[in-house]
Order: sequence, then C-alpha cells, then structure tokens
Amino acid sequence: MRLLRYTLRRLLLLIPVLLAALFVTFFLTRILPGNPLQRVISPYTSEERRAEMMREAYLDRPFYEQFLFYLRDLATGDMGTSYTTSQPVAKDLLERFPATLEVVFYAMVLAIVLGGLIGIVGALAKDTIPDHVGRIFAVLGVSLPVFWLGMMLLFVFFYEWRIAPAPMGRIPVAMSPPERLTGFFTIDALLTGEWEIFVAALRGLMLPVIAIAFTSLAPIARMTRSSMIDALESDYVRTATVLGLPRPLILFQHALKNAIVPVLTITAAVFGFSLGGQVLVEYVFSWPGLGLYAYNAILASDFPAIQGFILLATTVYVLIYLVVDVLSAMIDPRINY
Amino acid sequence: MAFGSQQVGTTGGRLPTGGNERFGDIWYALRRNPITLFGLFIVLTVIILGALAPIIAPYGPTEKNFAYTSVPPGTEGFLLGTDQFGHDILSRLLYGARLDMLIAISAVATSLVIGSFFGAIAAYVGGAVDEVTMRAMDVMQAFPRFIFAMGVAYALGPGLFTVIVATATLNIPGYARLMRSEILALKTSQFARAAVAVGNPAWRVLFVHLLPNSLGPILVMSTLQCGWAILEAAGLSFIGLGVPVPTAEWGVMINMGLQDFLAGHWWSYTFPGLAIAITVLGFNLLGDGLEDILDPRRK
Amino acid sequence: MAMQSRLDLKKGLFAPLALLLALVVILASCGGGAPAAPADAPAEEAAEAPAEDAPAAEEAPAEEAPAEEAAEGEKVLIIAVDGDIDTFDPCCTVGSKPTQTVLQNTFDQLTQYAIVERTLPDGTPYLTVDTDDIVGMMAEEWSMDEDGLVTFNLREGLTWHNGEPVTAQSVVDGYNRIFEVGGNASFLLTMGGVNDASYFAVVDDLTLTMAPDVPNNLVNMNNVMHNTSILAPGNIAEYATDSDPFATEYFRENLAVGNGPFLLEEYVPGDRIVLRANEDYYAGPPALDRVIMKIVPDAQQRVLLLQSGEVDMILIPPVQELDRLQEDANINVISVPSTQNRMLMMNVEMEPFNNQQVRHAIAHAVPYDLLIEQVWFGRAQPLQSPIANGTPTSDFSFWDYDYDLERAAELLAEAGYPDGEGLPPITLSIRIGTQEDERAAIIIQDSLSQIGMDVTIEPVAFAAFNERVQRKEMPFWIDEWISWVNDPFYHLSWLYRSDSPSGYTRYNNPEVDELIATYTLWNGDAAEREEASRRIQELVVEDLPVIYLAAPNFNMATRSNVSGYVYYNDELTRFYPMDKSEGAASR
Repeated sequence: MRLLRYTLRRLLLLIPVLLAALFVTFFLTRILPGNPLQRVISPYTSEERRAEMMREAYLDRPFYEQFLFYLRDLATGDMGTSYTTSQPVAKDLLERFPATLEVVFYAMVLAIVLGGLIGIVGALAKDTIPDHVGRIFAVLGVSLPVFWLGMMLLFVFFYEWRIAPAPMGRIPVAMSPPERLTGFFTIDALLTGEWEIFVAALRGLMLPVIAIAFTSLAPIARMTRSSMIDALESDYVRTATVLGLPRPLILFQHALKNAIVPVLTITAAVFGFSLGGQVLVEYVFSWPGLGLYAYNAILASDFPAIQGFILLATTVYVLIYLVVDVLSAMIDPRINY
Repeated sequence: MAFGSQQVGTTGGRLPTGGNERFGDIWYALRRNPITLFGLFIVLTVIILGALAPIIAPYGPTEKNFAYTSVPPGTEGFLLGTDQFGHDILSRLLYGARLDMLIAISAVATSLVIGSFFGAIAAYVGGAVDEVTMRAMDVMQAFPRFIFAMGVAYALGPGLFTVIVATATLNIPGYARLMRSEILALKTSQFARAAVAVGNPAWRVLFVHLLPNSLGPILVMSTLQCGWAILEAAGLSFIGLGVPVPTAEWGVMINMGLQDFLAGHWWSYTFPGLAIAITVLGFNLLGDGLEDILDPRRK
Repeated sequence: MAMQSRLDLKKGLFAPLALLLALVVILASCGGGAPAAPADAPAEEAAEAPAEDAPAAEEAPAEEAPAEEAAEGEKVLIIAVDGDIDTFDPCCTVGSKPTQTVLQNTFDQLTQYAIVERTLPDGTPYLTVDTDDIVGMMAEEWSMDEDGLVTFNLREGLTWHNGEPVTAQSVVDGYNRIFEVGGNASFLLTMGGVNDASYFAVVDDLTLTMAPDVPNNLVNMNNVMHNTSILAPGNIAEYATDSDPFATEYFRENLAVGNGPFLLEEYVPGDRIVLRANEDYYAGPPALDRVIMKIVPDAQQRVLLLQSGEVDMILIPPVQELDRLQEDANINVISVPSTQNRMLMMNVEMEPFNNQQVRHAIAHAVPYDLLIEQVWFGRAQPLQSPIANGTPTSDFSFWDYDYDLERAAELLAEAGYPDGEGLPPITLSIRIGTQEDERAAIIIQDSLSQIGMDVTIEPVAFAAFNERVQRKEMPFWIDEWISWVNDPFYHLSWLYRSDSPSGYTRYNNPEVDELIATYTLWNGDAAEREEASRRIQELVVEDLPVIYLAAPNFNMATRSNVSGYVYYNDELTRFYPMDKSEGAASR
C-alpha cells in the first residue's frame, strides 16, 4: 500500500519534471546558434518572405510564447514538423525509435548474460584468479570509449576479416526492410518469414550490439557479484548448506533468485543510460536511430526535432528510473522514500 | 597525484575520529589490493607523463612533418608513427595526456564544487529548498546525458572551456544527490548534534564538521567521474563539438584518425583510443578499489 | 511549505496535458508503419515508346512487376549520395545536391546543353556538355533573333507524368509560378533581364516567346537548369489554397508531378530516394529501370559500399581514396577539372581583415602547392583569379602572391602588427564534417602561426555557418563556389557585386560594381566585354577580399559496369544517358 502511494506520488512528480525538462530544452534550443529555417531560406529569399516564414513558425515571438504554442499543439498530439526532414516529428521519432531500441535491447540481453556470468563466477570464486580476470574484463569494458571500440571492431571484423557488413544502417542498401509490425527488423522478418532479411538484420546488429554490451556490462557484473555474495552469505543459504541441500539447488533456487531483482534494477538503469548514450555508436555505425537523429537535429538547430527527441527520451528515461526506484523500494524496505 | 592520496590525507587530518588511523587503513588496504594499486599507478603515470610532455616529447603537439605523413609505427624518429599531417603520434599522446587530465580534473572539480554546494544546502536547509533543488537535479538527470552535453557544447561553440563546462554540467546532479544523502545521514548523527550543542553556528557545522566527513564517498565518486569525464570529453571532440582540430587531444586524434580508416592507418586512431582506455581503466580500478576500502560493509 | 503548494498547482494545471503527452508518445511508438512520401502515380504503361537511344529496351519486362520486388533482369542503379532532400519545390532548393538531382531527373526544362566528348589532361576521353551549345529539350527547337526575342517550339504530344499535356500556356503558367513564388529561379531569370511572366507570350499551342530587356545569352543558360522546372497547372490547382495559390506549402514537402525521364517512386527521409523510369519518356524509356539514391553522409562509407559492390556509384568520394580506388579493376574513377573556386574568405569590414595589407600578408602565407598536394592529393588545379581556368576570360597574370613567409611577415608588420602583435583573436571557421576544408584550415593555421598570426579553427554546423555567412557576419572562413552558368560576369556578379545577396565578404568596389552592371547583359562588342572581365579580375585580385586556394577537380566513382556518365558543369548527375551492364556486378 505504501509502495503504491510512493509509485503514484512519483508518477505525479514525473509531470513537472517532464514539463521542466521541456522548458529547459526550449530555452536551450533558443540559444543554439543558427536559424532553423536556414535549410529552407536561401540568400535570395526576399526579406518579406523570410519574415513571413519566421512568423508562420512563431519564431518571431519571445520564447515563452513559443513554449505555450508548443504546449497547445502538443495537447492535440502535434509535435511539430522537423525543419530538416520536413516530416512530422512524431513520425520521424516513431520511425527511428525502434532502430535504437532494437540495438539497445539486444545489447542488454548480451550484457546480462556476460555480466551475469562474470558476476556469478566472481561470487562463487571470490578473490581467485577468475574473479580478478572477470572484474578487470568488466572494468576494461566500461573504460573503453564506445566509439573507439566500434571503430576497432569495424577495423578487425569488417576491414581486415570481412566478416561483418559495412557500417551503414540496419540492413544492406539493396534490401528493403520487412513489413513493419514491431519495428524490430529481426522480429518483423521472423514474423513475416523473411529469412534473408532476418540474417541480414542480425549481421547488422552484431557489431553495435557487442560495442554497447561490452561497454555497459560492468555495473551488471558488479551488482550480480555483490548480491550473489550477500545471498551466499545469508543465514538462509548457510542454513541450507548446513542442512546438506545439494549445492546447485541452493545456488539456483536461492542465491540467484535473491540476486535477480537487484540485477534487473541495475540493468534497467544501464538500459536507460544506453538509450541516451547511443549517439556515438549510431554515429560510427550510421545507425538510423534516435541518437543520430538528435545529433543532426542539434547541428541543424532543428527546434521541433530536438524538443520531440528530448520529450521522448526524458519520458522513457524517467519511467525507467521510476521502475528502478520502485523495484529497489520493493526489495529494500530500508530505502527512505 | 593531487587526486589520490593527498586529499585523503587532508581529510584524514580533520576527521575527529582519528584521521591518520584511517589514512593508514586505506594505505594498508591499498597495498593488499594489487588491482587498486595498479589503478593508482596508471593514473599517476599518466599525470606525470602529461606534466613532463614538453620535456620528453620528441616533437611539438602540432608540429608537422610533411615529408613523413602517415608513416607506420617504428619508423625512424616516429616511435608510434605519424598521422596524415606528419604529426608525431607519440608526442601528441603525451600532450594529450596533459590536456585530457586537465579537462577531467577541472570538469570534476567544477561539478564537485557546484553539485556539493547544492546538495549540502538542500540537505541542511531541507523543506522547500530541498524539494526544489532536488527536483531541478531530477530534471537535469532526466536529460539523456550525452545529448545534453552535445547541446551545451554546440551552444557554447567548440573549445577547451566548452568541453569542461559541458562535461561538468553532467555531473552536478550526481554530486548534489551524494552530498545530500551523506549530510542527511550525518545530520542526525550524534556527532552533529554534539557540534550544535556546543554552540557552533550552522554554517560552521556544515562546512567544518559535516562536509569533511562526507569526503570518502565523494573521493570515490570523483575518481570514477574523472574517468567518465575523459570519455565524454573525447566523445565530444570525436564528433567535432569539443576541442577543435588539430589540438593534441585524444578524442580529436581519433576523430582525425578516422579519416584514415580506409587507408588502413590504424595507428593514428588506435593509440589515442588505447591511451583513453588505459587512463580511464586506471581511474575506474582506483575508484572501485577505494569504494571497497571505504565501504564499511566490505571491510 | 509554499513550494509544495506551487508544485501542486503545477500538477493541477498540467497533469492532464502532460499525461496526454506521454500517452501520445507511447501510443506513437506502438503505432503502425512508416508511409513513404507519396510517389507519383504512374501513367498507365499503354504502349511502349519506340526506344531509339535505349539499347537495352528488349530487357524491359513484359509483365509489370510489383514495385517492391526487383524483377529479374531489372536494371537498378544504386548511388550513394551525401545528403538529404531540403525541399522538393524546384523554385527554392537551397543547396541540397540530392534535391537538385531528383529535380533534374524528374523534370525536363525547355532547353539543355549538348553532350560532347572531351579528353582529360591525361588523355582519357569523357562525356561532358558544351555550354556554348544549347539544344532543345521540351522545346524541339528554339531560336533567338537579333533583338533578343527567344522563340521556343514545343515538342508535340509531351505530357506530364499525370497525363496533362504540355502546352505553351502551361509553360508560361509555370514560369509565372516561378516569379510569383520568388526564390533562386526568379532571381536567376531576373539577372538575365526577364523580370516576370509578362516577358513570355503564347504564340500558339506549341509556340511561346520570351523577350528579355536586353538581348543576351545568360537567360538562355538559365533555362537549362532545374530551377526552371515547370509544374503542371493541374497539379498546382489540386493543392492550391486561397492563402497559398501556388501550393508552396505542399510542394515543399512533396515532389510535384514531373515530366522528365524518371519519376519519384519512394522517399524515406534520411535513408533513400527511389526513382523509377518513365516508360513514356519522349526520347524513349531510360536504360535504367530504377535508381536508388541511398543517403550515406559519411564519405568513407560511400567508398566501402562501392568497393563491396553494394552501390554502383558514389558522389563526392574522399579525395585521398581516389588513387586506391583507381587501382581497383572493378571501379572507374572520374576526376574532371572543374571551375569550382575553393576560397579563403575575409570579411573586409571586420578587424583585422579590413586592412588590405593584412589580406595581402595572409595571401603570401598560404602554401598553395602544399595545399594541392596535401589536401587534394594533386587532384586540383591552381586558382589565381576569381575566374577559374575553365571559364572564358580567366587571367592569372594579376596574381603576385607567391608563398613567401618573409614577405608575409613584412606586410603584417607594415599593417601595424609586427610578429602578429596587437592582432585581435582570429578564428577560421569551417563547416563541420568538410574534410578537405578542415585539412586546408589546419595547414593554413600552421603557416599563419609562422608569421605570428595565431588562428583558432572553429568547425561550425551548417545551420549556424550558413546563417552567419548569409548575414555577412562571418569574419574569416573557407568556402566554395561553383557557377552553374559558365560565364565570367554571371560568376563575378554573385560574389563581387556589392549588392549581391551572396557578397558575403562585404566587398564593395564601385568600379567593379559599375563594370558588372554594364557588361553582364551586353549586346555590344565581345572583346570589350572580355576586357572588362580582365579589369575586374585585376581589381579584385588587388583588393583581395578572397584568397583563392585551388580549383579542386570534380570527382566521382562508379563500378566498371556503369556507363554513360556525363559530367555537367552543374555537377548534378543525369541518369537518363546512363546504363549498367550485367556481369561485373559482384554482390
């Protein structure tokens, strides 16, 4: 009951946070250098036409008025039109969001498997060589610049060995994407039975997924290790051991079960972080996702696109953190909320 | 150097519970923990190499040798090879160490001061001030980290100052939260109550008694953040929003090396990437180790 | 607890709204497919037009394949381009080459340049156009009498892709839209002495005339460009509104119905633009059935794609890769000397560039040969005048700014800045991601530092860059310019006339203004006009608002099974003459 109240309170608090984030974005974008209309204005556009275009886009108003206009449009579900793509921002985001989500999702799966493994081994063989190796491996991952790792992977697997496809999007140029059901190319291809596309999509995912997974598995490994150690040292497990229950049973039934919630929690946090930190990976792999979209939008001072992106990203972010906090609150009643 | 033990030392000196003992503890734990010690070694080495760059680097940071463009490692006079302008990569790595350490430490120091200030005020004053401050931090944290830095960097225009500000901005909420929770915990402690009881003014209790006691976790966080700062600064420079070309900065070097990707000149971007990786690894090992050492539960 | 209540207030006010936002976003991300921009509805392929110049006509599929699947034997050319569409409206494209390429291939103009074969300096033959030889396109023939009156005789039976017939009246209506909407095209026509639609007259259904103020050839050179693409009146009417009679809003985001050899089949923003052959094209269907323009902003990725055979052609390859590409037997590299000016621009009203001696000093401190060697790897021609070598009346004899650091230092000292002392901070701006400019900037920075000028390089994103340049507020930057009309006065009037919108350096020399005004549209002695051009070159080189770095070649590369590429002086690709043979394609 208390937890439910906490959750509700947090959900309500989310709103001012989102609004404030939007407001800050609004302010920040307005101090970005460059006129967003630059893309459609040429030096030969007459002064009157220029003024008219500014007026139509409300760009001649003070920024707080623009903000109110934006909120008004938003209330009707209109996120504006991007100046760079000339498409509705909502449509742009919708097109790119699954691309980003797909990479991050698979990367998280890989990170949980690898990080979990490192953590379990580390906990079981605490302070031995495998533990140290695993730990250094994890810390090394988090120490690598993800864009550089991406480049090195490309150099080895694409440039030297020709195993991986060229860094240019989700599937080869000549292939058309599968019919859109979920937006995940792998899943859509499977559902529609397009094997070739499925394999191509998987190949395209390979390197970016490895890059993200490797650079983000450290917290997962760390959390698995420490919660496994806590669980293994718990009275419960000790009792079970003393009682002579088989070790694998103790491990999987009790220790791992207890460790799973904190691990999921940290994974959610890492997930949220990766969603935002995708820009560099998408830049290196020309991945047509949200990160690249945001990068281009910033460079073009494309206000509606930046705002739309921030709105989407902060919403996802805040929701993820809410889930994390609620989960933590569930498992650790000591947390003060 | 400045970052590691020295600060711990001064902290220790002020601790009412016998700081030297604690410093001794840390040193003892460090010695028994080779991985952490290794991290410390890396960080110190990079700092020293960076500091000595003008003396030990064979060439200037942007000195061009057009007769030796893109020569591979091991070429006479160019141990790690050159880039497409004939810049000596080794020299640039050394000067880069200097610049990246400067960026990391300035950025972390800036966010530490600002973040801790807000966190401490929020915790100490409490009530509405606390609520407003922490919600503001929520907002800042809700922004996708790197995109936010990109926005700040783009608005300020490329340059060293920009990178420091953009990187620092990201970490303010972290410090604010940390400081707030530390102070909240300490505020209710016997120690703080005693300090107030003997008639110390509030600011004095805060800055002289409470803050120094929070330095342990802050030290850990700062060490880790230095690593992050290097990664983020390099990322900004990599996409052209950070330090401008051809400055000897590791991210810039990777950015410039990327243009040589197809030519197969792997050395121009591999070495700076390795430099970042090793340095950040050093900070991370050190930070993780310190955390274990300072965490009473792990002792 | 005042704060608490304010927060509550906020919640009360904005909660429903914000929840709605969140909902919209979430719903949006669950929503359905991604519709492409509407493609032009193809006219029913009733009868196959006699294919005179289409060698592979027998390959044309008998049955219509569904659009999604590449039919067996279908010829698809995949080309990697560097950027995206800016606007689809022919009147107003700003600088996006993909937009211009789409327009050039989906629209015919009244006239076009004749294709000729020339040879490169190394003896390789290549196809290009003769800018002195304008031939018919929509007009079967055209003529100009001695008073400058131009008559166009339209081809019979021409239609737009929606079946609307092309008549003299519809062409005049199309020009009317160009003038009414404003933008580049009308600016260009005005430069040629044609100020509005009243300069045109309908003679009969297939004949129209155009009467410029002054007899001149410039205006004819304008009528070959994609800017003068003509929209179908019926198509305009369909999307016109009371407040927007020319449907500018609609055509900004949607390509109008064209009349060229290709139609737009699909546009996925940020990803690809697909063109499909117009089987009913008057000169026979194109050899290529489909052209996929894949947007690949990264130059190196374009190279990789070409090497792996995933694309057939790339534009703007990184110049340092060309030698390696040339060694590949599967790849053809075309590197053509162009009239492009790559320039170091200085705002002559801003310190310290308002000092002519400073500008001269900088000119002496630029290592021109090193730039050609290190930035363009030899694939550039020297440029020592505002008029490049390939343009008539080009004269390099006025240039005496050799690379000479001592002289540069002297001049800088004379200007009052000995060893750079007293100079304000100097920033050299370049566009983010322009690799050649970045390399040039690094080398120039190094060289200037040797005379005591400390320069910071500032990469600026295009929106901010263009805005500052267009407001004429950029102090010191690298820019490029290529004039689509190969005429010296056309070129000079864009860059050196004080009232030109693109006079970004704020250069103002009354004598230059006067000469340009007098001789741009000139009906007199040709030698006099040439003399005037030389005089302007002399003045501009002396005043030196711009330092000419080089004239880089136009480069592009294709798989070796691609043929028929024609180099146009506007550097836009025409797919109609191109073909692709089977076999060599390795995929």
